[in-house]
Formats: sequence, structure tokens, C-alpha cells
Amino acid sequence: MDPIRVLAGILSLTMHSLRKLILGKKVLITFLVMLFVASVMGYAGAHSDDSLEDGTNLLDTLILFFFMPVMAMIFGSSLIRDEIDDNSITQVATAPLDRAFSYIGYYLPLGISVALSMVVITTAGFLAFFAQHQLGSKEVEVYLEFVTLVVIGSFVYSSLFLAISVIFNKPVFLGLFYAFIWEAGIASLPGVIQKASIKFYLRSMGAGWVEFGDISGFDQASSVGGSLLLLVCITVFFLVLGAYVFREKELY
Amino acid sequence: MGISPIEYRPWKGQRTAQTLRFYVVARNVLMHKLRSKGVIVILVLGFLLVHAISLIMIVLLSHERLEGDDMNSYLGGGMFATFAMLLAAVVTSDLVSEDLSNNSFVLYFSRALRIRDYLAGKAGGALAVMSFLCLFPPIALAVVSMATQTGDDYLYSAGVLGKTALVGLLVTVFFVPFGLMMSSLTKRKSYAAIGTFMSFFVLTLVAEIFSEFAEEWRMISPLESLSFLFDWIYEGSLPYFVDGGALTLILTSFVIAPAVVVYIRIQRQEVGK
Amino acid sequence: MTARGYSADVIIQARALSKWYGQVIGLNNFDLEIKRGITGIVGPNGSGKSTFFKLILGLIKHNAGDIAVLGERPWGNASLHASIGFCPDYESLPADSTGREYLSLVGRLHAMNSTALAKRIKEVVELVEMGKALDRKTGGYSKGMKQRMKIAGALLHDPRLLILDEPLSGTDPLVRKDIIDLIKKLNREHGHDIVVSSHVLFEIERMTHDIALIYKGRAVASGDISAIRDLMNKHPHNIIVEGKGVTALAKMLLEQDYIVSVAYNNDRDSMTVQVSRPDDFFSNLPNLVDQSQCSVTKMYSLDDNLEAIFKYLVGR
Repeated sequence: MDPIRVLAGILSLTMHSLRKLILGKKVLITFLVMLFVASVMGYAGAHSDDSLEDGTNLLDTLILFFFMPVMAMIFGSSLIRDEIDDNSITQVATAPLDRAFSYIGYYLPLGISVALSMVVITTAGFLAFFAQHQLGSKEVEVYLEFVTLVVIGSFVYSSLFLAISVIFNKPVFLGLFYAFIWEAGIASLPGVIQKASIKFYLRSMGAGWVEFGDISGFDQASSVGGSLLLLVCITVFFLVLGAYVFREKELY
Repeated sequence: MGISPIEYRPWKGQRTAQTLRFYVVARNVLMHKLRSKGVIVILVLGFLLVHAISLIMIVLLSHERLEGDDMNSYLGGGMFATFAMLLAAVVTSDLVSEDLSNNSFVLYFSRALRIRDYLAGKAGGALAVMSFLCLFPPIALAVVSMATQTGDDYLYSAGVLGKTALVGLLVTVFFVPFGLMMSSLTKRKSYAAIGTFMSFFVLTLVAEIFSEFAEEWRMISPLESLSFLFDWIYEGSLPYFVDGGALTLILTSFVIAPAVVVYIRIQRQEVGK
Repeated sequence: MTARGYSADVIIQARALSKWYGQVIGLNNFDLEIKRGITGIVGPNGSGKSTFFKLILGLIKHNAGDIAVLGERPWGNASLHASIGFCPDYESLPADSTGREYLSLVGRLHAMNSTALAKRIKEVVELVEMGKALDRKTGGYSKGMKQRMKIAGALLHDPRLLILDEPLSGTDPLVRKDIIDLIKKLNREHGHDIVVSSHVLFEIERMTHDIALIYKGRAVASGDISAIRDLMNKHPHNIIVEGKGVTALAKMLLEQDYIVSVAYNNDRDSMTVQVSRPDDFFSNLPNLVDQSQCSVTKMYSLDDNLEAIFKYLVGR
């Protein structure tokens, strides 16, 4: 297969899907979540005595713990599934581009748009809280650390939810289960079960970087590098799995 | 000179009363939901995890009478309300959204069916399904407890049974209007389910965050509000930070405001907006 | 992905091809060779036309038998798509995109560079007469416009083979004529091989004389349409004629030798005419209407004739 043709195909699908995700109706969800997070963190900021601790805990609980997987689920669970359901996948499926490469063309814009979304939300929340106190170097450091975590998390969760959307006919319910029941509930229980969640490794990385809040005392699974490597492996695994399933999938 | 004339005979049978038209919609919803795998799974799981264990404990453990405390800890533990919320999200997600996406309103409103009949039918069907998890099992459990009590104060037990029926009824009703509202806001049932689930989850999260600053914020969590309501019904008292009037207002607004939104949405659909 | 044993002038070959969806059989031991030119695939709804096309495009995988398209196996063979253009029978245009955005996406997926793509979009859009609506969202297109845009998408990369699945369905008579003329032009002037499907034999007849009949997942006949026509003489065609004063028309029709029977339907303003030679019926009808001084307000074919043909062919 001609590599230039493949790259051109991936690029065109990336641009098309990116435009759809960033300029489509889902931007409204980002906006609403941003407003919500800013309100909650703004209110908390007005009542907080220890801004670094409280602010960090809020960034951890509200954004990394809750909205990170939720936004990736909302964006990712329906990206390919919607196109299969409304038959607009026909253009992609009848293009001279192996479906495994087309899958990459869906993953890249998904990861980018979820990451962008989360950066906007994190920034809004951060400013709403910390602007009421002080914005020193420590605060900015916390912000940058969390932005890095959410960007990494965006790409990891995107790979998971995109794979789910291709493997299952009703991906939203499984996505809901993973985001709300598994990550928020079962994998929050103490013990080894925690290691069966993406959030655990993100928090492990956070524990190595962030010096404030509950996250700094989090029981790390391994070093920051080790957690990052594991997350990369998880991402690659879901990408390969999803690409394979998409390639072999019959499109009725 | 027709070879095979079309034989048309107008139906001259008795028509059902206008007030019973919603029954057709309700029955249709109930039958459809009872064939749904997702609903059956949640009903079975919910029964096993919420009711079965308590039922076994009540039968095995000796008790003098049916106590309000026992029923409160059985129903107010959080799992009951969580499963009720899950079930409501799954049951209500497609009730209006599928009609929106299929443009089926013309099917309903070109007949002698009013918006209130349509909504009553949809809600009625959903409530019937919800009652299989939220109303009948607690009542059955209370009856079994009464039947196996060692004491003879059946009047007291009957009182607790009545409270349990009230609690079951309130939980049955509580989540359905919100779920219907979410269903009326989107054409995709999966988004409606996400919206219902997420809304309750977000409220719970916000309540958890804000309660660090003021305990009253716990009331905005639907699960916590229901827990306070159960305390109020069974024990006649509320935590110090919960005002009865505020609690009633919050719980009522969870039910009435979404119901109004659904009605307005359907009204706009009816006139083709 | 080259399939052995397939000759060069055969563009599509299916041998004992079968596809089932659980309990439902889509294609059943399907044998067919499609040669160059325009070939019509005719069959009633649910006969397997769309299943066959999806197998050609590698969108689904066959369960048994073999299929070759332009000498290659289609499943998992994305590079074959460079030679095929597909216009599906279902809605496939992204509703939130304009026609131009849709064609740009298709073109870029076929690795067409910007300059060549812009030029090609202009050419193709002129060909399908969609220039004025190009920058409107496809969600707002009429059925005919959507069909044209889908055909434009299929033509964009100048494929050797065009697969058009029911391109005329849901369109009005004027649009049908335009699309039929376009299809003929694409073959005659631009050299594309075209496989087009329909459930209405007379629509296909206006495009080509090479047809294949599909019924219940099997290819029941293929070849020149005149051979099919001979079969149809044994199976009268039913046409409904409605209007004022059709009684006079009925009397005149009964005198014609191609009329098998005339019967009123509900009332004297509607009748069912059974004809053995529809061509003669349609050519003579305007004169008869004029002579009988009746007013025909509606006329349509029940076309259950084709069903009878299929049953006859399957029963042979």
C-alpha cells in the first residue's frame, strides 16, 4: 500500500472528524461542563481557606476523577458508532484506505478534541478557583501538571472508548458502566482492584508530580515513567484491538 | 363490473372512554420494557442485591415486630435508590426520544389522543416497570416480616408496612419525570440515558464537594434527599441541617419541574415545532 | 488478492455465492457473470440486490462460494475501491456537511490533491447538475439532489466500475429521466462500466438491454431483455387507470388485441387494465384517451407482473 496515499487518507479523515467534533453539537457539552466546573470551583474558591490543597483536590476529584472519563466517553462512544448507524461510514468503508488506517484517522481527532475540551475545562476551573486567591508559581505548576495529566488521560481514555464503540453495538451503556460504575465505584475500593483502572495510573503519575492535595499522598503503583509506559501500552493495546475489529467488521 | 371489489366495512363497535386511551400507551410501554434485556438484567440484579439478602435475613432472624429502623436501613442504604435511578434511566430513555427520532407523534396525535393521555401512558408504563423493583418487593418483604414476627403487635407492624408502601411509591415516582424530560430533549435514547445518569451523578458529586462548606448542600443530591426522606417517614426526624420545607421543595421540584418541561416539549412537537 | 480463473472481460463474477444473516438468507448459491457495459440487476425488495452490492464492495463477507470484482477478491481489499464508485440506495450523506465538503472528503480519501480535486469536483458537479446546491448542507437536499450528489461522490475518483443501487428510487419522473440519461452518458461517452439495480424492470430497460434477474437470493435469469420480454407475454401486466369518463376508454381498450381484461375497481372512475404488450398499450394510450374524450388523472403500474415472472423462472 502506498504510504503517501495512506497518510493522505488518514489526514483527510482526521481533519473531517476534528471539524465535526470541535465545531459540532458536542462543543455545547464542553461549554456547559466548563460553565459548571467554573461555577463549582468558583464557589469552592470563595469558601476555601487553603487554596492549594482544596484547589488541587477539586482538580483531582472533579476533573481528573469525574469529567475526564465522562467527556472521553461522550465524545468517543458515539464517534464511529454514529457513522455506522447513519450510514455515513460508507464513504470511509469504500475508500481505498485499509480500515485499520481509517481507525487511526478516527482516533487522532478524538484524542485531540477530548484533550482540547479538557484543557479548556481545566483552565476554566483553575482560573475560577485560584483567581480568587493568588496565582503564583506553585499554582501555575499545579495547573500545568494537571493539564499534562488530562492530556495524557484524554488519549488513553479515547483509545478505550473508541474501541468499545467499534466492538459493541450499544457502546454508550458499556461506556456508562465503565465511567460511572467501574472507575467511580468498583475500582475506587481499596486493594488490588484499583490497578484495573486507567485512573489509578494517572493518579500514580500525579502523585509523583503534584506536591499538594490528596493526590500527592496517593499510593503509587510504580514510578511516573512506569505508569506512563503502562498507559502507553494500554493505549496501543486498545488501538490495535479496535483497528483489528473495525477492519473485520461487516457493515450491513 | 368489478372482478374483486374491495370490501370495506367501517367499524361500528364500542369505543373506549377518552380517559382510558392512555391505557393503550401504558400497556404498550410495559410489554415492550418487559421484553428488554437491559431492563430484565437491572430488575434481576436489583432484586438480588437489594431485596433478596434482606428477605433472607428477615426470614432467618427472629424479630418481635416489623421495625421502622430495620426497613430504613434496608431501603435507605443507598443501593436501593441507586438501582431505582439506573432502572429509571434505562426504562425512560427511549420513551419520548424514539418518537422524536421516528417522527411518531403524528401517529399518536392524529388519533383521539391528547398530550396528557400520551404522557400519562408513557409515565404509567414506566411507573409499572419501576414498581417491580421499587414498590412490590419492599411491600412483600414487609408482609413476610409481619407474617414471621414473634410478637402480636400487628397494628404497629401494619403502620410500618404503610410507611414502606409510601416510601416505595415515592421512589417509584421520583426518578421517572426526570428520565422522561431527558428523553424528550434528544432523539437518541443513549444520550437520554447518559443525561439522566450523569445529572444525578453530578448532583451527588456537587453535594459532596459543597457539603464540606455547608452541610445543607447535601440536600441537592437526589440519593441523599431520598435518604433524608426515609428518615423523616420512618423515624419522624431529620438531621439538624435539613429543613423539612426545603427538603419537600427540592424533592417536589425534582418531580414537577421535569414534568412541566416534558409537557412543553411534547406540546411543541404536537404543533410541529 | 487476485482471484484465479476469472476472464478479463468479466468485471464481476460470483460462483455459488452465499451470504446469510443468522437465520435470514441474503444470497443463496448465487451464480452470475457481469460483463463490461451497463448491466441492470432487477429483483423485488428483499431479493438480495443490496447484499450482492455490499459483497462486491467488501462491506460484508460472503459465507460460502466465491466472488471476484475486476479480477480481485473484494473482502479486505481496500485498494480495489480505487476502481469502484458506489452509490448506495440508503441515505449516506453526512447531514451536517455541505455538498462541497462531502465531495472534498471523498476526494481526499482517494488521495486526490487539492488542485486536481477542486477541478474534478467542478467537472463532476456540472455533470450531475448540482452546481447551485453545492454549498448547501446535504441535510436540506431533496431526494433527487441527494441521489445526484451520491452519484457525484461515486464518480469523483473516475472509477472504472460504478455500482448504483436503486438510483431512481424515490425520485420524480423528471429526475428519473435525468439520471437515466446520465447513466447512459457515463457509459457511452466516459467509458465507465455500470451495474445498476432496480425493482422496476421498465426503468432498467431504458438504460440497458443486459439484465440479471434476482429473486429470493438467487440469480434466476440473465441476458438480453428481449428474452425476458418473451416470457412476460405469458404474464399480463396490470395497470391502474383512474379518471373521469374512463368507461368510454374501457370500451375502446377492449377492442385492442394486447388487452387481456379490463375491470372496474371501487367505482367507475378507476379500472385495472391487464395488458400482454405494455409497450403497445402505452404508445396507443394517448390516441385512445383523445378519441374517448375521457380525462385520465392517474395511472400506475402494479408491476406484480415481475413477481409472476420470478415465480415462473424459479419454478422452471
